[in-house]
Amino acid sequence: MSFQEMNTSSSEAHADYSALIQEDRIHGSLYTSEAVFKDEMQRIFREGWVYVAHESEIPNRGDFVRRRIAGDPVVVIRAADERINVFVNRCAHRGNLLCAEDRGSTRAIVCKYHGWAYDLQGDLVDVPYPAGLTADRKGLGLTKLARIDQYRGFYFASFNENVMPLMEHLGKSAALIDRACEMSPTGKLKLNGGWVQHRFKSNWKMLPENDVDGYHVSFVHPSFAEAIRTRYDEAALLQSEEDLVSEARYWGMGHTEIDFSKAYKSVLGWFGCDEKRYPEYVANMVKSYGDEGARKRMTMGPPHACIFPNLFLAEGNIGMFEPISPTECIHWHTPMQLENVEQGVNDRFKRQSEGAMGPAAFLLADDAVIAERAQEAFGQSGGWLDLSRGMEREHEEDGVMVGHLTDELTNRGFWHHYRTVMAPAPKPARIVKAA
Amino acid sequence: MNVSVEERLEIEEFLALEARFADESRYSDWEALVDDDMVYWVPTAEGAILPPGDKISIIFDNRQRVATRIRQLNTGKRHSQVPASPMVRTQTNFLIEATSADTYTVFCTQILYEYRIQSTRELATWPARVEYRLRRHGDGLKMCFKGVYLVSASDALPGLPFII
Repeated sequence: MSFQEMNTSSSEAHADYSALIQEDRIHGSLYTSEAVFKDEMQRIFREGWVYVAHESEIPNRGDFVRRRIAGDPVVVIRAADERINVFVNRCAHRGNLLCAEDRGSTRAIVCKYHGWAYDLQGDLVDVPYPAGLTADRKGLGLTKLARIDQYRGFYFASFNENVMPLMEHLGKSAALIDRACEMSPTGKLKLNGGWVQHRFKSNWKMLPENDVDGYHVSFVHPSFAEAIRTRYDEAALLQSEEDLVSEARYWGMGHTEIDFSKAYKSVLGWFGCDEKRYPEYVANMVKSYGDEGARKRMTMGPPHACIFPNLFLAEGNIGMFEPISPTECIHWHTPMQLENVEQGVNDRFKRQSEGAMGPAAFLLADDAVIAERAQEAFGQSGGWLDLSRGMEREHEEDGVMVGHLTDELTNRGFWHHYRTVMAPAPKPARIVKAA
Repeated sequence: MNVSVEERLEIEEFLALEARFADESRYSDWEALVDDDMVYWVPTAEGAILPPGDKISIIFDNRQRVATRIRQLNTGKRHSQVPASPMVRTQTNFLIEATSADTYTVFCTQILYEYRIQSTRELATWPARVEYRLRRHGDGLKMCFKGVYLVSASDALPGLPFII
């Protein structure tokens, strides 16, 4: 970037989001424009809450995982039993990458370049040849994300110290996280089954859109439906419009769901088996939630929902969406693993995960190509995309908007929230821009 | 145990045929080379150093799931392989060991070029080490294990819906 470009960038025109996002249609340039992408990274991924990691990924003091937020590398590290910090993965001295490994455990964070050492709170605690450094070390700590909070072990972070409380951002959708956690008899998940990352040459928003689009299933996945009988036959595939009982739901704040649970009639039916298969799991669930509560949870199964902007509660998986550029993103997933259940249950989650998710899977491989073809079709001009399906038949239940499985209720919800975030009412904001 | 020159030729020819069927997306011909206890494994870097299945894999197929994979490709409606990626692969550096009177282990290197004709129209390169376990039957060799250890297994990968 030239000096002149730097000077003009602060005053450059932003897209007119109110015009590009209408009640029943959106403009394709939202998937292709560099300026839009830049705004998204600032307004959604820096100023809002983003999901960064689950507590079980870093169970012990000093455990860390690397992630990226809005293109910046961060380290999510456990500093104490009940404290997790998120730092920009960059030395305060000469900007070198501090943690080069994807995950690990450490007692201190030491830069490989000049040996500056930070403790797990991000404070500078040691420099080689200390006599030469007369500056105040307090000002030379790591850049910590301004806000970190968690809900049931799901950690979120924001660069914006004035971001709304996490529970306000999650709103009613906290019930979806509850539903995921309460598949476990202890209410706790253990995300230790490993991650697979799937690269899409498409805009990142196609992930939260398509992942809760109940309309495409019969058309993108007919090869899956023909090759194997699964729980999705009843819930999403081999039914006429009138017979599909699964629902699309909009939970507010950009959080969306397709709910298959009305199609599931028996305990563990969603898991492709019955309750006799895992008697210990069923018994422990009954012990924790009572007979009725356990049967309800084990019949409904885990949620299929996107928590705005980047967390995917993907039935037996937990997923993340990582934007790379306007035309590239990464779909991450790890299998849901439950605390205190027989190994067979967790192994089954892993094998189902491999079947459904990732570059070679029976489902996601085809979704990715469809997304890449959409990106190709947008070209440079984009054109308008219709989002009107089902506007006439959506209705409210307990503050949640509900529609037919095949309706675009979820995508309308996503986009209308996106418009609110991207074109906010003008107000002074103090944003940490140090990163 | 060492193998004879004749055995080595037979095994290299078998693997060349396997590579050809995979390159040409001849799914059922490829499946005919698979034994009843086949395991087809493409691990992540994290999972590759652990027993198969400990961590989730990119591919971890038992025989039944191999059959599902082939059935799905054979529908002709698997969008991610319609049309099928044109591919060519070379295998080299064969280290062949007889593990019993009728079984062999083969380690080799593989470079696969895949043209993503159905989507981005980019040329993807898939360098990997490959491990086979082969078993001799009355009518020839069959695969009971194929492990493909991708050089880029720690990274985000594009679609891998073909036979690697």
